[in-house]
Amino acid sequence: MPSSDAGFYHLTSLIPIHRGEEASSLWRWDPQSTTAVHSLRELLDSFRSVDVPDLEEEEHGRTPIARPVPFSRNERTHFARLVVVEALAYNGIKPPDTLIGLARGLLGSEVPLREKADQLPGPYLLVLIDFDCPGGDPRSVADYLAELWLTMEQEWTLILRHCPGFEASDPLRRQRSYMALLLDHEIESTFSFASYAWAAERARRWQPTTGRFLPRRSGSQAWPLLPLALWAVCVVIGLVLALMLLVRLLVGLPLSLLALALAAPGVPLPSWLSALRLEPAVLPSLLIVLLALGVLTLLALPLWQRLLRQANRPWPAQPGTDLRSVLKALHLQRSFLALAEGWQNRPAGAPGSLRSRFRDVLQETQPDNLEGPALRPGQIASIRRHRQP
Amino acid sequence: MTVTLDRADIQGNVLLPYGRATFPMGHLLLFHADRASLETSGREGGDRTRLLRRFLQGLLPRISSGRLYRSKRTTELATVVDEPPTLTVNVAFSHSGLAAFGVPQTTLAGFPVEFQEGMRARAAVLNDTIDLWDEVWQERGETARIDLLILLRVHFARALAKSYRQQGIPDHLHRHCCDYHPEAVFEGARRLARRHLERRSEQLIRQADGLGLRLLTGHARSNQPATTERRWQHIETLTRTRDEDGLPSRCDDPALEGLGTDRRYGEYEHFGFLDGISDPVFEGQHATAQLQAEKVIGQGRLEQGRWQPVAPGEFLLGYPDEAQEQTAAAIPFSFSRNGTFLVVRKLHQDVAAFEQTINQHVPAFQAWLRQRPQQAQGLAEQDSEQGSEQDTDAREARLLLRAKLVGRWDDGTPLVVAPSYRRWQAFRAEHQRLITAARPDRHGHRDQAALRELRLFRRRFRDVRYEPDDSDGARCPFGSHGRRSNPRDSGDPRLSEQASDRERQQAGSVLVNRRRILRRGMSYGERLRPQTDAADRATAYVDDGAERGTLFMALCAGLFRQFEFLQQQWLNYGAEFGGGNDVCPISGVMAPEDRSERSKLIIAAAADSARPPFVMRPAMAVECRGGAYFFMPSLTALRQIAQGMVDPI
Repeated sequence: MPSSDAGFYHLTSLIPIHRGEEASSLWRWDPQSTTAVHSLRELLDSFRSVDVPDLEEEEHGRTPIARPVPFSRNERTHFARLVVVEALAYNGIKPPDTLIGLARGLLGSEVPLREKADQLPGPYLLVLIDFDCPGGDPRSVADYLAELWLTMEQEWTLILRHCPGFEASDPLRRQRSYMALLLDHEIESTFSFASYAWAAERARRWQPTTGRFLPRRSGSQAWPLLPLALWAVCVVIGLVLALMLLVRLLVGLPLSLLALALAAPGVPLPSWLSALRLEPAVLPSLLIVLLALGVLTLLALPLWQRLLRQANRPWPAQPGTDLRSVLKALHLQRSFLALAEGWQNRPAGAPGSLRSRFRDVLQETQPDNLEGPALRPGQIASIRRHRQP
Repeated sequence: MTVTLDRADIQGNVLLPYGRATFPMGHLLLFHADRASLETSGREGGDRTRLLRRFLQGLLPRISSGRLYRSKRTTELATVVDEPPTLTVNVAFSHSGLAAFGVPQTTLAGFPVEFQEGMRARAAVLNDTIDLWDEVWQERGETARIDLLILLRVHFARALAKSYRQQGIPDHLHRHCCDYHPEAVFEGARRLARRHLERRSEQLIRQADGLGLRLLTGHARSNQPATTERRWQHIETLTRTRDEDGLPSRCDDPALEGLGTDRRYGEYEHFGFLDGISDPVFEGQHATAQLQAEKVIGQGRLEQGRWQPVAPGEFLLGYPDEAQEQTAAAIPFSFSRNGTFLVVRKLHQDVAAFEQTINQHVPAFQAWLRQRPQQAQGLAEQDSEQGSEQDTDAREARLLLRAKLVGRWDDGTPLVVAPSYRRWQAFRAEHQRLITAARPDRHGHRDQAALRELRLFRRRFRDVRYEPDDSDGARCPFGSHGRRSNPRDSGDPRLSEQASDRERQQAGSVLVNRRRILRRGMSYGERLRPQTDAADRATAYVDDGAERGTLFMALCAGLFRQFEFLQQQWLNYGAEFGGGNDVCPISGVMAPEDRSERSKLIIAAAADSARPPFVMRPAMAVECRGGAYFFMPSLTALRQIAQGMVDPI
């Protein structure tokens, strides 16, 4: 299942939005009525604006308004992006094929001057969410969505009111139509935003004592390379052989018929014709060889399918890449940096050793305890935001 | 599939103009984002930008969008539409204004050069003389730079209803059946609307002032009376009385009766021409397919003899244009999309000079009309008619000469449709007959057949084609205002000189498709009325030195390609129309080095009449008194600016 990889699921849904002026029932910032697309944009902007760090504010040493984005109430969501897709990018007229154009010109029919530009049938809401899903089971998507609903019911209701098919009448229907909208309009995706599995895998190979990395363990995932290569070579040779035979047949058969036709009135055959035509005796054996190759290819098909399945198999989840571990790790990173900085800038004759400071940090941060101090979900900044008091 | 535009995201007055009678009065306010304090310390800059953004945030909910509201245009719409706003508010930024509001440099640099430079710097392109401009447009010095434009228009019907109540007249008769209103009521309503507008302007100025936006003043010449308001540009549609419209006071329908002095807001500009008949129609512009199909006739682009809507990318950024590409625009896409460029030009109109020049030419023109064609054979239709007009009186000659200047008669009838006075009168009579036939009867029932016939007839005002009937410009001179600014199918480069009439009927507007602009102009100043005690027409018009003219406003996606090309190549230069250095007789501006010589207008006789053309020296009665280029962002972009979230990466 391509939408799932390395313990993450990247949900991608493309949900239609109401068209035109059907937006009278919408929740609005201001009393002026407007179109669904516009109102949805305003709404999404209002969610976004609360947590984008204002660099200007920060430079002036003021703390930005820290209202968490609604998605941060959920502890599995790594990344969420909601985009209004209104139009297809138009790249200008497609350059006509030169040869076809020339042929058309010779035939006297001009290339049409005006090309139709593609239009979407209506606007869409693109929902992209990356979340922890260790099993990679598509059924657990529904579980996640149900979990998300518990913490974001209000926001999803506001958002999905802009989409046909959402029933806002009672709580049960709200939830059911929310799930249906997101799941029915899901599209398969191979692009994940939360891609730090590789880093976790690398960290596990690191040897703190030597500072080196252990070689990557191939283990059971290793491909049987030699048999595969042999198989591939055989397939290629077989295909080339089959193609050559096919060409020989296609050339030889009509010529044989021609030779037969000429032979009847007793015309002497030209030498090239007699060389190229197929002897009737050869014909059955040729067909048999072709048939055999075909059967071989068919037999190879399951192997090919297996290959595809293998390629589509998600990477196993890497321990330590779920959201809570990541938040904990970022917090540890921040604390250790502060420790190093504090030690470096310690005043001469200050009490305490590095060891005692390290112990304090360990006590304070509790590295093994995920329930212990960590960054909040939705807190984007890590090291950059941290300042010495 | 055709384009569906998000009307709520596009600012008002872009897709469709605010009605000139519905929103007849407005203010144009110009602001400067005061950066004086910005230079004193580095930290002030951020504070200043944040204040400006707060002003915009406060303004956002009041900004009018292109949403449809209840009006004559939307009666056929099935969906419910809102009441029109009492006051429309629209904003546009100059390049320096966008910078002051904190738009990132990457975005600013993505704007076309002509917008970055501004109209003042482009005076050499447009032949403008900055010294003639009003103080406010001259932008002398850094502290006088125009950053932000706010345009207010006030809804008139509410003021009118109030005025009726104040006068104690039951208004139901007048408001629903007829455009005309008793003079006292009308003047009262004007005063009310004006006061409302002024109050709102003052309020806005106060708010802006507290948040770092200083109002720029100096909108009129300093020699104007001290009472002249110079803080803003007041714009107002000109009024017409029943007498001026030639309507009888008494008629068969009592609902349509009234005094000769009853007034309405009209469509005429200061020179007395019906204005704004033809405006480009582009894909997605009108609300219904039926309306779009009707409006596209004569106003879209002409291809293979059929009218098609112009590509939306010619007027809105972010859509395919006539070259089948995206018009270049600043990134991010969401910032430019649904935005457009606004050209503002204050055009002073010297009505007295215009009238006097016409009257000076009338005797010679009359004589020219009377000349018998030297060849008796092969007379063109027009010439035979003009020849028969021996008794053409001075009035008819004057009206024809006026029509030759603009390409349309005073009431907007195209010269191509009615090339002579007699045919114009016949056309008018037919129009009037159809109007009468289509009028609702006592039970409010309308004759649908007559209505359809009227609609078809009215197409003739718009469906102007110069090929094949006027290929030689004998009806509508090549140099006339209308033919210059929108040559339509005239001069289609695909036509050979020997093209047959059949081929000419297929002529298209390929030359013009990339040069169209949406005109959103409004008049300003009171009308100059002729002195009633003057001996003749020539002396009836005396300049009173007052400010009057047109506040020209145009919208397009490419200032250089559309507006500047139009002004420079077609209005300020005549080579394209075989007119050498001649400029447009109405809105042309001569290059300073050419001003010693007066421009001329060649009025051609039919090619086979062997008659010399009539040479007219039109008064250059229009003078540019200021102008600037603005960017009119979409509401999404405005929100991005207000929240400081323009992200070009």
